[in-house]
Amino acid sequence: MATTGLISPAEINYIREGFAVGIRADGRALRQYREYLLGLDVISHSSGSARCRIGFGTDVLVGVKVEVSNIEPGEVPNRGKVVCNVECSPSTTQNWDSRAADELNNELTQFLHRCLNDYDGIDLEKLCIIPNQSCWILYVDALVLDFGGNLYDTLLMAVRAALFNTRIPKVHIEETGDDGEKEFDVIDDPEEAEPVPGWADVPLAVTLNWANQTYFVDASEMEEHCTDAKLTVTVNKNGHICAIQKSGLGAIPQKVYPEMLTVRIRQEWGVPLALWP
Amino acid sequence: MDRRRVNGPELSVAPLVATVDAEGAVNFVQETPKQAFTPDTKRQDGRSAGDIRPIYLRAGLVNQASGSAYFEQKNTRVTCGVYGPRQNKKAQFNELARLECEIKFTPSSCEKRRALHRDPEEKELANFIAQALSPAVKLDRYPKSTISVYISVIQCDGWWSAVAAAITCASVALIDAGIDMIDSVVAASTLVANPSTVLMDASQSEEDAHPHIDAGVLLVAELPTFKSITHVVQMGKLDINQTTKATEACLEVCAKIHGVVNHYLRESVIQQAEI
Repeated sequence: MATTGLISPAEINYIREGFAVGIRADGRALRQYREYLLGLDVISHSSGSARCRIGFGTDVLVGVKVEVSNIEPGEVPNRGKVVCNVECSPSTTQNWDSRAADELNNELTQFLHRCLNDYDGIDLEKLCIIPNQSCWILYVDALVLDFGGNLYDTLLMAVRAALFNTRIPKVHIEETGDDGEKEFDVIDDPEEAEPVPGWADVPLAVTLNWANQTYFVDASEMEEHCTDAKLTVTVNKNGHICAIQKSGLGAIPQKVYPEMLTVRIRQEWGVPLALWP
Repeated sequence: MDRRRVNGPELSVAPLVATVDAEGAVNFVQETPKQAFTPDTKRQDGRSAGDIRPIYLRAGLVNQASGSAYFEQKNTRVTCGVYGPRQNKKAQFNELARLECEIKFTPSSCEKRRALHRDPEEKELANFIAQALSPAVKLDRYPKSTISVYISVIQCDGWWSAVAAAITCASVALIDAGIDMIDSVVAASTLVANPSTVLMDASQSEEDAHPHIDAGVLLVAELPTFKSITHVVQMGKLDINQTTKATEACLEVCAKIHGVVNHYLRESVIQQAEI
């Protein structure tokens, strides 16, 4: 994680000592999220969009655009595609050195790509229109408008909300010849449009921050500078773990690791259950 | 596509195998297709589910580098060169050394030809590897400096096993470079095919035989003496029991690999002393 360099060793020490006794600068418990705001349908030209702001810090805007695409030879013949991109807006990252910003963009993009494309989540096979010919392609573009810690959780929250909000037009398929050739028309009527198949299986993330022999959720920007390592666990509605990723330069003791995996989103954290089935 | 260079074909195709039948006629047949693993069969290369492929390791091959290593696991071949610690190029003061990693899959390393430039996937892997190695390196011993780790994957038989190999190989190269470390880093990967088969160190054909939809992949890097996990990546839907089981399996294998690493390190020290 890039640092702005605006934290002194004394401050780091103060915050870290606090973790050991369960006290945080903003008065929260170790397992308590900040308040969040979630807005749907915020960009009119997109097929679906959402904005998530957590604790008046991190602010992520996600727009989903749906387009028809060709299935090229060599690609899986019966699956649609999801293309992800995460970008930290220059207004947030001015203070960071350019390489750190690039690295973060790439890390988040690849993470999102793996969450949505490779495994489970969105039902890619239902996004196929005609096998070997055409499919739907979902462009998921996230823009980080402001940064105040806990980017992973906020990002997935906004993405899940945007996918919930997305509508894919219906298509009418007809056979044109005896040899099984098919053609299709996209039906323009917005009333006929359908939700993204499998959006409800898209996981949410909980990032656990390991610092001073304890772990806590939803780090603020200052707290993030004081953590040794972060463990992001994404969990779907059935309680399955969909992805795990460690980040940060520290190590996590083997003893605590299994316990960290069992942490689940709970109602009393005040976490985004708005879209939780 | 880069038109200034001679580009190889996009896809490589398995050759037909010549067989001679009872009447002496020669037939050309396709190789047997890849088959999924079932608990009561052996794996394609005769291993059982918990076995890894045999490791060959050597430190100190690249004369130019401060330290280097070569790691081989059957068809997975990785080399790594470590340069530094050297002075930071930028004037900015930093209390800790910067551990800079780069990984490149050579164009002919995988089934599909890889681009010559570094793609986003490789950049992310480089990030993973830096995060996996950092806890072991005493970065505070080298203020204002950069340690560069360059890894090339010469041949890749199983994507995640190649990444695990790269981490172990890089850690050996760092040791060979004489950089202060608290422990070596070893990594292991596993493929969890539903419902509960844990295939350690999966080869490419096994990764292909278990498509992502019903399988998960787990990679764990650890400091064996400190019993600390330095990196963990999981892809694919698994329930908590499967994840725990797979992690335990990985850690067990890590301990074995650690033994191998120590053995080869001792050997290379003796070799160097003789010269």
